[in-house]
Amino acid sequence: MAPTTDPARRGMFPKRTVYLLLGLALFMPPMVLLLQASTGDDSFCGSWCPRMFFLWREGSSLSAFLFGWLRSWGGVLLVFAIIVVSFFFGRLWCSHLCPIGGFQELGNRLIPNKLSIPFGSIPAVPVRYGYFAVYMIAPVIGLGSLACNYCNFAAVPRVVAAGFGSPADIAYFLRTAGMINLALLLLLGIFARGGRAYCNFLCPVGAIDGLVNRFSSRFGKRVRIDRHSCTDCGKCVPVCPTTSISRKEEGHQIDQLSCLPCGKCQEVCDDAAINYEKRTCSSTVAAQGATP
Amino acid sequence: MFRWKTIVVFVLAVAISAIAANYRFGDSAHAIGMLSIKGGKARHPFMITSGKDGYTLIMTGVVLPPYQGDVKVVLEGSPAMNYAIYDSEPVIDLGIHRKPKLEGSILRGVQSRDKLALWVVMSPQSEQDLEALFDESPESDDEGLMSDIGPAGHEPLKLGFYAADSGQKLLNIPILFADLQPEGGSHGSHH
Repeated sequence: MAPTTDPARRGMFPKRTVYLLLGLALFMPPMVLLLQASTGDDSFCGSWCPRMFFLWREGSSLSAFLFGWLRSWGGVLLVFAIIVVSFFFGRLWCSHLCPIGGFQELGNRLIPNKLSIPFGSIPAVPVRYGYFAVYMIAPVIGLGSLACNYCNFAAVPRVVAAGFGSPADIAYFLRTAGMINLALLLLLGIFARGGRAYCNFLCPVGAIDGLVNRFSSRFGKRVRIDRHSCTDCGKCVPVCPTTSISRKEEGHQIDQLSCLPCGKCQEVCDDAAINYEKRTCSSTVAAQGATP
Repeated sequence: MFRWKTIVVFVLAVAISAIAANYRFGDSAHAIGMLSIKGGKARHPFMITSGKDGYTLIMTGVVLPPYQGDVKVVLEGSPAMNYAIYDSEPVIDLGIHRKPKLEGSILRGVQSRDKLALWVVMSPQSEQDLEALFDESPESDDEGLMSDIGPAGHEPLKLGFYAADSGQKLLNIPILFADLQPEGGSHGSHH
């Protein structure tokens, strides 16, 4: 099949970089526009947290737990908005607005590809949901907490603010946990091929989002491979930042548990076989959590 | 084969994550407190480990009504520490919301229901033998939280919040060395 000549088709989201920069402006130093305007916080680690409000903490009373939800209304609202958007449109939060994923991806664009670490050989789904299971269960059974200890929502804004000389944010990294978070940010973020290994392996929001993306894929728009147009050339496989595309017996398939609608696969598809669309007749075969 | 690989990776991920969740680094800790004119309440103490060159404490809290005014923040007790206190501020402050401002050790303009987030970076003043200091430490109270656990004959180490004008106690958060506490005195969690 001849390569597509329609420039409008190349890149499902040509303005994605603009959206990512908007996400940084809204949630990240130096501006933190949305947080400053709403809660008055200067980072995710202020009076609310988008990830921790749903955790049952050792020694918590029911009233304290419910009050935590109310107090963390911003986090509740944000997570539910992410889920609703993912249901209908796929993981647009992760691919377009998330300031943490965006910072790592934009940072990775500055790193030569040969210096980037490929994580494609590590199966992301079992790592992600193994980590996520412990993330949710450990506080309930009093084992401890992964939240905060290993949190890029805390580390990334502090890296930026520390770069501006903020003493409190510099203090965050003057301890073992801070240094480990910095290492995670560098290894799984900026130096990971595609900049999305942290999103793919460890992000709890990404884990929830992935489940919604997968189990509602028949209802909403997703990145899909048109079976009739696909020539199985495999060009899309190495460019996927979440290693979501793999070759199966039936041809190439996209794992909707991991796929972000970033559009990179479509940009390299010469056959116009990858589209961001609702399920159609030519893309209805689903197997083991994957859709073509 | 594929399914077995998936299961093995999942089990490995669970095991490593569980170890990571359970492990404590000992050089940093987080505590949550509520400041009030009744003396305040800490949900749990800071739990750190002895023998580190430096420590970072993260305190988050809320000011309960009706208190309002300036608040003095001090690290007090034994073992003596060099320390610095920082509050977290936006790099570019848009000035949309009023926030108390830390000037030296005084939080200026604190009002009821304000939320506080402070960072304390501290290091021991001398290489005194902490274990010897704690040898005759009194037992903890029934909850092991707001107790007087500290080196024998010394005030225990704590982060104190006081009304700047009257000196009235608003909150004390004990700082405990987890490895030196008697049984039952090591409650709490830290980050």
